[in-house]
Amino acid sequence: MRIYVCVKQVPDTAASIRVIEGKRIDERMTFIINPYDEHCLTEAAKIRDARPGSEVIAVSLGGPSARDILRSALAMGAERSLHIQSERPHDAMETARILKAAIDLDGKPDLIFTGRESIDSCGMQTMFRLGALLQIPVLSNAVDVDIQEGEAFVSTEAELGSRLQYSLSLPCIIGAGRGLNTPKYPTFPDIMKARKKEIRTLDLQDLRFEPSASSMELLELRTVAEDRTPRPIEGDPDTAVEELIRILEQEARII
Amino acid sequence: MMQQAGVFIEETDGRVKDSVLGVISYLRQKDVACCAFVISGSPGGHAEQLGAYGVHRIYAIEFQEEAQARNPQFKARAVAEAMQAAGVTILFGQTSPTGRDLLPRLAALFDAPLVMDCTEVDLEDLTVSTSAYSGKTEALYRVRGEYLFFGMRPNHHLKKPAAANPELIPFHAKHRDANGTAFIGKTDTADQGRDLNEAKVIISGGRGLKNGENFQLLFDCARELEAAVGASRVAVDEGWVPYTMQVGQTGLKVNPRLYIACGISGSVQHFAGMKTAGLIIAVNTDPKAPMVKNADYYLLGDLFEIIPKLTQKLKARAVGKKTA
Amino acid sequence: MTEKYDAIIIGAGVIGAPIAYELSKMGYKTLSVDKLHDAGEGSTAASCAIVRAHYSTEDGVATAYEGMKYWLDWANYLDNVQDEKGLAKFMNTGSLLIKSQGHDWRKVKGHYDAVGVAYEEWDNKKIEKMIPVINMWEYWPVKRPEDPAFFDPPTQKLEGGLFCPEGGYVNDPALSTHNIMRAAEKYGARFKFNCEVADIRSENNKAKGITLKDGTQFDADIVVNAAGPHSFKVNQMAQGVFETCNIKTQALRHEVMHCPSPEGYDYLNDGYHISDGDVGCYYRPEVGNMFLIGSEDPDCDPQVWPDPDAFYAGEGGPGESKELSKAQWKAQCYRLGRRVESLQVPEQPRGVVDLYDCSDDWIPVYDKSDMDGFYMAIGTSGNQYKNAPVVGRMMAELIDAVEKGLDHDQNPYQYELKYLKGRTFDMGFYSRKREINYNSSFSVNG
Repeated sequence: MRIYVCVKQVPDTAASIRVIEGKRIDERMTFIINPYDEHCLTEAAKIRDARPGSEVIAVSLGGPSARDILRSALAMGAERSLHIQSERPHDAMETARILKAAIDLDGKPDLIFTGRESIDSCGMQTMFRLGALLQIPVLSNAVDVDIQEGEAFVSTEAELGSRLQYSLSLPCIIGAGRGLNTPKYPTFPDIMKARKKEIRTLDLQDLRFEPSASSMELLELRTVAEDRTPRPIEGDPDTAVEELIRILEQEARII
Repeated sequence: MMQQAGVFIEETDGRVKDSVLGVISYLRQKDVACCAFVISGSPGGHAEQLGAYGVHRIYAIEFQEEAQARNPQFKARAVAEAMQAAGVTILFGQTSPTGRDLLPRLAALFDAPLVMDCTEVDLEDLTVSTSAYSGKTEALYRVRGEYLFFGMRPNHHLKKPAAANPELIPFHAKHRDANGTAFIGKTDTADQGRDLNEAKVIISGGRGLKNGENFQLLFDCARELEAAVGASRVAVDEGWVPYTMQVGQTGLKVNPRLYIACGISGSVQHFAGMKTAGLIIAVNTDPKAPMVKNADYYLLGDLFEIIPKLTQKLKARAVGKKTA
Repeated sequence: MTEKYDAIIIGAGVIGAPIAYELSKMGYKTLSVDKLHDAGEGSTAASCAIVRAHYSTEDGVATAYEGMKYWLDWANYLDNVQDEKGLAKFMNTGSLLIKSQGHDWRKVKGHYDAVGVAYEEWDNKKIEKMIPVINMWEYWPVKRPEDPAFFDPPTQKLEGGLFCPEGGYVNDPALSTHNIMRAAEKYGARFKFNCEVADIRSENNKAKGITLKDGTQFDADIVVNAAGPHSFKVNQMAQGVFETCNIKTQALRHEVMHCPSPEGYDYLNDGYHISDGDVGCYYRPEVGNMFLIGSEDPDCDPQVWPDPDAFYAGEGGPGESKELSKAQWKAQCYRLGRRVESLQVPEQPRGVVDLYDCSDDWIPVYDKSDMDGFYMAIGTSGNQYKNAPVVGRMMAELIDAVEKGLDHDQNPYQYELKYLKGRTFDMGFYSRKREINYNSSFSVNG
């Protein structure tokens, strides 16, 4: 089986975000693999190990930080990787086209993994667009995957407390959810091995695709202020709880 | 001419979700005519309820076979066909488990822009506000395309009645190709806990809980709030709850819409794990606790009295709603 | 009316709190002020709180061993005070010093013998048996993963280590400080929080009190600087003090990593505190079955000296903030990863970043100053947590003696250890006037 795993570099969730020129973030910070993509790599390696002759190929789009992330993906078990070099932002329509073109150029996929979303932009859509372009089935938020002859049995987590089961014909795209597995992180010997693995560099110009008629353009980015002014919830316990419920409903808007 | 947009209807217990009515009210306020798309076995397409909130037209989508309604691929195709039949090119849904699947499928079908977790959408200059970088920033996008899709942040806009007399249009989905996707079945899981990373609401306990058994109070309340339960480092150190529940610098960093901190003093380390929460409410006996000083709201009181009362009132409310 | 005290202690961390405790026990009316909201919430909270005996000097070993006795006898030390938050716990895991070129372990062994520290000689076989995940290959010298030589295969083995059955860490350093505060309050000590000091007032070179940022004044003839990473700023507020110190202090940024223990190994319950100079790290168990990995500041690692106010306000730029850096995460985890080959290193850095109050020679300054009534317990350089209860007593006795007329600069105070009977300690060792002590390890090891 040839398994492609799309990985994305995202800012460390623990990092504070600095906005430059109201439009982009200061990238002098720690980038990590999108956490959902770690589940993809772990699952892909598991499927690969059960089928001799299979390989896992990590794919990433972006600047130098994408290359670092691919090195991590190789340490987590990918055999080789594709780095599509680009320094500019791409919207979801374009990203899917670029990924498709890169995969087409490299080989024929039997299975593609992506995270169910990236924790930076949370567009939640790349896998579906890639599926439409490749004309193959897609399922997101997978918590269980079982690959059989020509078919993938996938469970997804729906609303709380229920799971839905589907079968997809191969090739297909699976979006990994948190519950899929416990990521297996690299040991020092894994990291040693990854140093010798291939990162194939692809230039954007070498990839052929028809541009989309649609677009999404980022106009402005601004940090959200963290200041809080504490206000008391007063009265006897009954009154206070009533007021608390009002806040949950009208301000937190969660009930 | 009055602008027109479609709204995908999600339901719970046979009624339209309040959060969806909020989106309809939001559009009505902007003088947008709403066309509802309903996939429902229930007769009448929620006409009464949707009419009360100002919906003009309702497309009640019906499938050739019932199983097709459970197949996400059929569902997306059917909504796409209905949109075309209705002449609707802009569709609003929600950033909910349903919306997360349906909206990107539609956007991919039409090769159209989709923005999720939207708070504001301007249909005049086609700009849309959303969050980015785990809620630490707000982003403004401009979208262009023949079709446009928006997944709204649930409950960001509240429902407001505005009566109309909607036209109910039954729509029969014609699409027959499942595109390699087959629905097999549904199973229920017994999990009472929720993933802290995903939770919109987190209720956490600290030293004030006194022991592990008392965390059940939080689990009970969490069920009513659809919340996940977290813990401070002390509670984990003491072995009251597993460390997977720890929120803080050395635990999970979470970003819920609401964080309720019960009996947590609020060390710098704890704040490092939850300071991006939308709203922070502290329940504590100590007015000097840093958690109290850095919250949006604080309730000075005994959590052993407050939390069960809250659970009880929420329960009564839910029952009241179902019977109303 | 301005409140008047006998002594004001600036800083309610693990150094300031015991000083307040001991002074109050002697009958001084003390006020402790801290810019944060509770005791021990500053750099103390981020301390690895390691309690071990090995230091590069005999006095260092003796003081640390003395300090350990306090931690072992915690409730008694606190005069059995009640703390509503509970008591901090000393986790006596035992402490292993790996014999390597990174430590002058022969010297340490001599000091152990001289002081009477209990220890065992462990050979490689014994270490590999007691810590099954470890290998005893030599990786010296310490390198960074950016250096290709980092990945060179090792060629020879180390020579075992020195194991002290007494040693480990305190589970919650902030809580331990809170405990000391509660004990001090029993003797009348006052603590005020959210108080940022703006000025040290003096008349005729005699300390008179402090002024807070909001203008509030407190008077006292004794003012003690225990401001941790802010110590140099506080010294600068006291006229003539900063300039007349030969040893200066500065805030050094320091990262400590938390990496999960390998599958199947219960480091939390079965593991030791380990000083491993061969890879420039020390480790101890951390909640959640983690390896807590500290750095011994090898020469190849960069040092960042941020402004402490900007650092804590989150205004530090890339690499100077309170956020872990990936390069250092890799450096420390991969170093441990050589020693523990089954260690899985996650992608996302986890751990703690804070500041050391670092002195020129990594040895603290526990001293009077050139201003009468102004004292300092500063420059703890990341290696004094374990000594804090001793420091409290030592400083209190020093202050008392100087106030009663001792010329400490000419005739340094001789401190008698309380547990290691018969041992005295020349406090001139910690003088601000000393020349840089080249016997120091110039690292967190002191």
